[in-house]
Amino acid sequence: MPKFKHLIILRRMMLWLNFFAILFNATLFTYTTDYVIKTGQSYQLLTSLKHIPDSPQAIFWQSSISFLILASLMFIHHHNHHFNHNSELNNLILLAELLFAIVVFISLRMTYNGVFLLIFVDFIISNRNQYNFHDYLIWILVAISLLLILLVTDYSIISHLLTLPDLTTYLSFLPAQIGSTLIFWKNFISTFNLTFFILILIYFAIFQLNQENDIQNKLKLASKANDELKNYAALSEHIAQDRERKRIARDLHDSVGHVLTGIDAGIDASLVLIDIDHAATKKQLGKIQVAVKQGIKDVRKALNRIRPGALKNYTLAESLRKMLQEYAELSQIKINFNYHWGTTDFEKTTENVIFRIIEESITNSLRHGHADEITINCTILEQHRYQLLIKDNGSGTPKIKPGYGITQMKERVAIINGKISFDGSNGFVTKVEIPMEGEIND
Amino acid sequence: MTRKNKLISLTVIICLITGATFWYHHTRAQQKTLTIGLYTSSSWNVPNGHQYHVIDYAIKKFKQQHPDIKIKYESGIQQDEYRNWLSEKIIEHQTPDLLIVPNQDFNSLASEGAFKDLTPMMKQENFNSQIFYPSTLKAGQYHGQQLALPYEANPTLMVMNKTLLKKLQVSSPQENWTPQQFYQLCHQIVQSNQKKQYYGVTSSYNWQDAQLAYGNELFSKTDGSVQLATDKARKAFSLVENLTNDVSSYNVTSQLFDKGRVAFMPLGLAQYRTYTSYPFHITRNNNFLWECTKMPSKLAAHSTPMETSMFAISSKAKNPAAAWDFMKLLCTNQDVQYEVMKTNMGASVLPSVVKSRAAQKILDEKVIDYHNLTVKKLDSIMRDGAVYPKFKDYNHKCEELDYKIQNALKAGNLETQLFNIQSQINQSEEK
Repeated sequence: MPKFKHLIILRRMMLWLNFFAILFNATLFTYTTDYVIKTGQSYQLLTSLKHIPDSPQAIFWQSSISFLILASLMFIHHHNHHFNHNSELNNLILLAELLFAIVVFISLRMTYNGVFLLIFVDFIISNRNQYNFHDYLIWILVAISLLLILLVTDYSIISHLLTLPDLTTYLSFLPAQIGSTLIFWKNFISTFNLTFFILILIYFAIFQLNQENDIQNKLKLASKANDELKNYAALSEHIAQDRERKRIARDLHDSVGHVLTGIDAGIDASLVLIDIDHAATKKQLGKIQVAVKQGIKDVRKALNRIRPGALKNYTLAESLRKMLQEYAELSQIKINFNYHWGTTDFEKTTENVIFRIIEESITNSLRHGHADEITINCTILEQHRYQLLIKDNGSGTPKIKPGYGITQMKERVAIINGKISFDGSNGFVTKVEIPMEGEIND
Repeated sequence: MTRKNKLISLTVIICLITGATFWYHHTRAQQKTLTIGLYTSSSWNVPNGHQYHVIDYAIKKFKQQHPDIKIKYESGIQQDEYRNWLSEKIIEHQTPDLLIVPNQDFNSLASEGAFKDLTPMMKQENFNSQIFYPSTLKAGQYHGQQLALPYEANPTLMVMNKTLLKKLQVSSPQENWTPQQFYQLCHQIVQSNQKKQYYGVTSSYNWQDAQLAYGNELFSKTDGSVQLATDKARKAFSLVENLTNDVSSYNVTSQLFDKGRVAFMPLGLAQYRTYTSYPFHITRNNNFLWECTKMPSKLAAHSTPMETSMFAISSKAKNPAAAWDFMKLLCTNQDVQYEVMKTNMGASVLPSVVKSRAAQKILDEKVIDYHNLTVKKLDSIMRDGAVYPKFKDYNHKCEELDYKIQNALKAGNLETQLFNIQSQINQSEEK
């Protein structure tokens, strides 16, 4: 399994190899020059060179310093992530590298052109994400220009066009054995560099193909996951609809149900009374009227609650206050509301649950406990829990018979992994614990 | 940029700045020193007791105008080691700014591009190159560029044994004598004595001198190929053949001349001045009268072989401006040129110096009992200086040609061999 890391290691090795090659080539000049001077063959060298040679020290320093600059450019290029995201910057630094490669090439008096291969490797590695692997045109252009550069800069070709300090002339002044050995090593290094380049190229191709495969596999996985998501979305929509229906059913049961039952009972009573006592019937009808009015209000309220967006415009605290204020105004009940949850942003479902529980509890306190004061505390417990405590001063109940409302409450709290408990011994207390995000309460 | 990267870039920048400042100071220091390449002995292989007299004199003069420039030269280099020393310096890339260039090294160094072209500098200053003898100036030209300025010259004179000529009742030659007259005189001398103890001319009068006498250019100016079979060339060769045949291939050496048995001998001015003046004439132990004249030649032919030492600026000179100034002082300043003529035994390259009274004084100084070299004569000899071909392997080719022709002369079949030699030489060049 080819890894990108390996490619980087190979590139680094190639960089070191080139550094060695440049030092080797530059040292060849200095070494042979020293040898020629020591053995007193300067005159012969000069006559066979056809021109004034450059200073070997200058060759050495120019080439090594320019290569060091090139290497540091590459270092910056590879250790700075700006270049990965900005293709213009990337191409700019590649151009700078190419320029310095040319400087290195010229300062070595055109005897070694392996540096260009290094630049090409750099181009490949840094552009692996910039161009699509199928962007053939760009790759072909770059490859052709590389081949052209290699062709033009080949020593045997270029030395026909320009007068260069011919290394072979220099080396011919050395003892035959040493000269041929040095030429062998010089060629060996060049060829080794080329081999390295080919190796990197092959490795890169394999790496790319592998990546392609990986991408294909991941795409398959993704589409699979996508299908599952679709199904899940459909399911959750269905569940949501279900919930909505249940809620509407609850609300209707809580408001219209009670009222209609009351009206039904009242009408029954009225039917009995109408022939006996007109006055009582009137009174009864008045009561029914009151109940109907209350029912209308309740239905309106329920509709308001069903209407989407009731919660949207407010933060939880705000909308709770608003709701409580409405209740207080309507039912002459005193509500103490202490909110200590700060700016916690609950999930929509959690907010809805809290909302409904408070509504339900107040309704229960009014309807069953006939309370006239309710205290609601929203606090944070130490064990990473939110606590909602609803307490009234109503009659309470020693034995709680879970009706539709309470069951609903339990269901709702279970959805958000919360706990709910009721206590009817002293007024009626509803205690809800909601775990914080990420905490799961078993 | 992480902190590490910042550090690295900072170090790189600091290194660059220090490097740049160091470089700047280094070049500034180099601009204040002028290095010169010289050899100790005289250019003409004559004894010389004041090896650095002229250069030190010139440096003193130069310092008065340019007190801030230091001049350095390496002493103790012999002339025959000079070319090797210079090659070493060139290869090490430590070529002196200003170099003395011996006549025989000019072509090869010029072809390698060792010298700076002086033409732009000369144009810029409206430099008057008419102040030199034309042939000395031409000695420093290569492929249309003026690469060197002449410093001193050593023309070849024809010296003669006046005592011997009188004794054999042969008339002294005119100043402008032709090769034919020259041959007739030599022939007369050889024929006049039956015992074959007197000779016309030493063997140092060679075929090249004869070619010059006939005004023939053996080498084509364009590609350096040889033309041996032209009419002029044949005439010149036959002159040498006749001279050789007259002495029946006996090698007439300069020792014979010293013994008073030869009438004519070509000799360099420096040698002539040295050996006819005190103390060196004692070593020769001659007891005859010397005289000298111009080499024989056809009309309008520049037939005097002349060696010219030159100064050139290295093409890699670190301080070309100072080198140019100092070079002008050496080559064109009359005082310096006067010292050159006085000390180095050759001739100045400036007609204004050669024709001066002071020059006549120099020529007459310490000369033993004969004052026959007048500045007028010397001036006309200098104007007669030959200009040699300019191409890279001229020396090598000349040697090859010389060897082949000498062999043919010894074998006595030069006439028939000419074409053969010509094609051999021209083929060897095409390799």
